[in-house]
Amino acid sequence: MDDFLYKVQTRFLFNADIRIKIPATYTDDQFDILFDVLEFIDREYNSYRKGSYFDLINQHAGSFVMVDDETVRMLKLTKAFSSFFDGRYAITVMPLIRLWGFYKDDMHRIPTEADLAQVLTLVDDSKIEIHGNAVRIAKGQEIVTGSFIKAYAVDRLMEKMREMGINDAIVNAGGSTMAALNNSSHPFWQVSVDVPGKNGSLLMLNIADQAYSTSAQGDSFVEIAGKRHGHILNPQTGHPSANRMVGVITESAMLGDMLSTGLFNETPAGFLKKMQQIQQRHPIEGFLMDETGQLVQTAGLDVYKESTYRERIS
Amino acid sequence: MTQVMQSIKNIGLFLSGVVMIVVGYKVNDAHAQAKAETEKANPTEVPEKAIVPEMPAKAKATAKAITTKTPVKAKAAVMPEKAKAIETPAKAKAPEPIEKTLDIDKATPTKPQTTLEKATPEKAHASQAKDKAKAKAKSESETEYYK
Repeated sequence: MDDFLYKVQTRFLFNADIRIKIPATYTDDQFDILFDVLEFIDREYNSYRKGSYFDLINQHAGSFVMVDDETVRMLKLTKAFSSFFDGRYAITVMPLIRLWGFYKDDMHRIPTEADLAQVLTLVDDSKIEIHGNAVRIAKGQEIVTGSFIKAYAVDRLMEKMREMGINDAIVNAGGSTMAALNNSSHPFWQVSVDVPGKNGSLLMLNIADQAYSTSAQGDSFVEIAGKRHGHILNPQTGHPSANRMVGVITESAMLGDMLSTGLFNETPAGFLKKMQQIQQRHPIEGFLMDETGQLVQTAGLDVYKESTYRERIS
Repeated sequence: MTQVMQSIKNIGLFLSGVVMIVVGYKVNDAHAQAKAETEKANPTEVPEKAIVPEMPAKAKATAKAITTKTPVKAKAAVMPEKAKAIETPAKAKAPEPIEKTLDIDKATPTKPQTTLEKATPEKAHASQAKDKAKAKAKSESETEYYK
């Protein structure tokens, strides 16, 4: 298995390096087909792309817009998880991101409580109305697909790979989203989880036909008046979460991305409680590293750690 | 004598004919020039109309589907067929102008490189910061905000 050769291509999409690794027996032009899937999702569904469905919803805030079935499916899913996290996960968080100045690199500032209170009334996914294929957000609201669109694209990419008969591959989307395909001759892929903001590896996980998603502050903080603020905002408080990292192993990259973002705003106790609730409906394992560097994890995560994994499959 | 007079008359007639031809030619030329100048000053609008880009098809379909005053439930009932019927074929046509610009991009030698690797571990980390420089180079002053 260690001697298998793979072809790798990296292209820049969704503001990240997307690495696709497939067996070396495939021709180079297969990459074009695979990256086309990602480019299509970027063009049609990324809220940052002019003319995408989410852009149209934003541009016509206050009015109904007709969208396709996929957009409706994504919206229903994100709304459900926003409700599950009591608003600590929200895709209508864009006005808050703009307020903090995270959208423009040179405008970082700490908002006043009055500004926050005003903007937080707009950060509310329950105000997204869906009637059939007609969707409306309230005036002043703005959707940002950044917490799930890259992972959604990866899920669609994995579907395409299965269609093409690829059954041994890994996709690394900017380091925060991974998805693996495995067969009997290559039963798992290894994921090295870095310590946030440092070069060392925290742990090695083995995933098989699964996705690994992480939300981490790492180097991605902004410095305002000499103090570091994380870039992941809690839509409920309006302030950045203090946690350092969340990592989850799931069956779908989109699910993993949404959950890791929502779980990032939990306390360690809240994280474990939420994970138990999610486990009743979805197979999921994961960990949270709080601001002091303390780790909490689900009991089943050990199964995926390098040391125990090899014993289990042998 | 009469013959001489007749000859002079003929020559006179011939010369006046030549003068008239010259004058006629000059008048015609002046007209043509004036016409050309007027056309230059007021160009016809037909070719311009052909160049004006169409509103993106998806936006068009959406604009038709958007109403502000009708209450929510009524709207959901009214929209489906018409909006969908317009949207589907229009979407397929929409990318035409975009593809032309893409052709220019493809002409530039940016063929992605394929490398060979073994099944080495993939590194997981927060993506935002590491890709910041590339993102900035790609999208002017604004940073796209992802998880």
